[in-house]
Amino acid sequence: MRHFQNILTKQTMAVAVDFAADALRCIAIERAADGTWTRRVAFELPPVLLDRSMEDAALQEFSAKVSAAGLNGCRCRVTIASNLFRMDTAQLPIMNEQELAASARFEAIDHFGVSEADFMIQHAMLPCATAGRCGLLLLAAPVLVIRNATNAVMNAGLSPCSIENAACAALRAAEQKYEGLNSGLVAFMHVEAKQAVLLLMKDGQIQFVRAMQGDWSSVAREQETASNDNGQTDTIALDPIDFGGAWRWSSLAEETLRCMRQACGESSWPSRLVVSGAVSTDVELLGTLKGVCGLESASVGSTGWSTGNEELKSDTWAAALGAASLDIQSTSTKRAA
Amino acid sequence: MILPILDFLPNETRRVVHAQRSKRRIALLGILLLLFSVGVSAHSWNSARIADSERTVGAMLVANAPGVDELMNTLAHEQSNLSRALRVSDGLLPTISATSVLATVTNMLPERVSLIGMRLEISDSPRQMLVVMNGVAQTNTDLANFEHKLASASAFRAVTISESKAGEFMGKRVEEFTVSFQVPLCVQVCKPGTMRMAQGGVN
Repeated sequence: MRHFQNILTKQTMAVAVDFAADALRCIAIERAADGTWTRRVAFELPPVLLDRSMEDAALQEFSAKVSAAGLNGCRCRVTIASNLFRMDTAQLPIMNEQELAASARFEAIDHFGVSEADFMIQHAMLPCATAGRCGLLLLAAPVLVIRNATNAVMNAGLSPCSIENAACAALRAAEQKYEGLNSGLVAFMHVEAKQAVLLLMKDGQIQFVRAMQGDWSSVAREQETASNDNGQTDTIALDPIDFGGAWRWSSLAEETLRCMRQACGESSWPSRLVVSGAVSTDVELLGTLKGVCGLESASVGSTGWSTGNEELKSDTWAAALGAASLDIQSTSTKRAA
Repeated sequence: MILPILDFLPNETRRVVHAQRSKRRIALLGILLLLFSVGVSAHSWNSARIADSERTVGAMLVANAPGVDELMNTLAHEQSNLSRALRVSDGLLPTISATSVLATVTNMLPERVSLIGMRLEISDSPRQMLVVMNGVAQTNTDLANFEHKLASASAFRAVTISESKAGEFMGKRVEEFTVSFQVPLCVQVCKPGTMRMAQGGVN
């Protein structure tokens, strides 16, 4: 009956599914009568490889979780790990919207070297300092990945209403949480297991995008391993470097610095760097970024987004929360109206 | 908004999702409609059953009870007969007799006034006795005195001298007159020669 109720009644829940590289996350936030948003359910499942169909066992587990949470038939927003996307910026002459869409498609195919039949391409307008030209954010995602994600969500009993890049959703989450993100020059970094996405924004407009490939999950695990080893009283650390210190993030920090130098030059420098993703609360990551890039670093934690019985276990929910924030905003706007 | 949503959901999938939701919505509405129909049908069947049983009871009562219409017709007929009989009885046997009226008038008659003729009729509406008297009086004063006595009696109403002319009676000059008045049928005879109103008037 709950299934039909979700279909018939006006939805007051924001549901998001995040196909992250390290886990499949699902969150449902419900608006209470007093206007506060209460987390109804948030669960994690083992990661799903989207280059193939979801396995039956995993699908059954996902369906069971969705059904147990009473989310059957709910509209949901889907985010996919950004490492499955191709992402870059481009500049094109100013033209009308239809021509721009066609040109962006052609530019993306040429830029990423992908087949039009196998990839879905989207673009967004960016401001451009050069007169007579406009900036474009180009994204391409394999059709197979999109189809597998869609099928997985639909087979689990949910109704997808949008699919977007996890980094973009996390940026939206950061925008919701940090009021000052829309003013001045600010850097935002979304760190995933296999890719970190750096975005530079000036007065709320994206100026620069760079995806940095790397096995960032193993870098993060070095700290856990080191911490576990440190807990053994009968072991003496002979070489501190082996335990992984602040400088295990140096490669990411140096690449970030190079990107920012390229984008900003010497004239201006971001006022701060906001980090989201699983490792965003790693003090050493924030410390390294601050030390190398010379700017204040802060993380987009998952706390404070909604009230619930239990705290979210990690800080990896930024993408899901950012996707759900679209429905939270629209519901709040409708209620206010 | 820093970045608009870059939606990768394929249009055909969006259509499928929309169609799926529509299908589920229609299915649920169909189920609800079916349940509603079953409920209404059950309610109607129950109401029809109750009405049928009430109709059966009514038919049994009609079959077993005496004919009300026939009874009413009989009563109306009897009432009509009774009314007619009462009217006949009132006509034949008024509550006051002409003799009592004559005795009362005679009692009021002055010495030099004589009655020659008298006619009494009973009218239905209003129910009263109409009296017309002919007579002779020696003088007009005697006639006026007689008319005054009649008018002052509460049992007599509308005393009128309808005719008065000079004439001759047994070789003497007299005043021939005609007097009419009405007597309600509700008057009571107190004693021979007097009458009073049933409401309590005394004469």
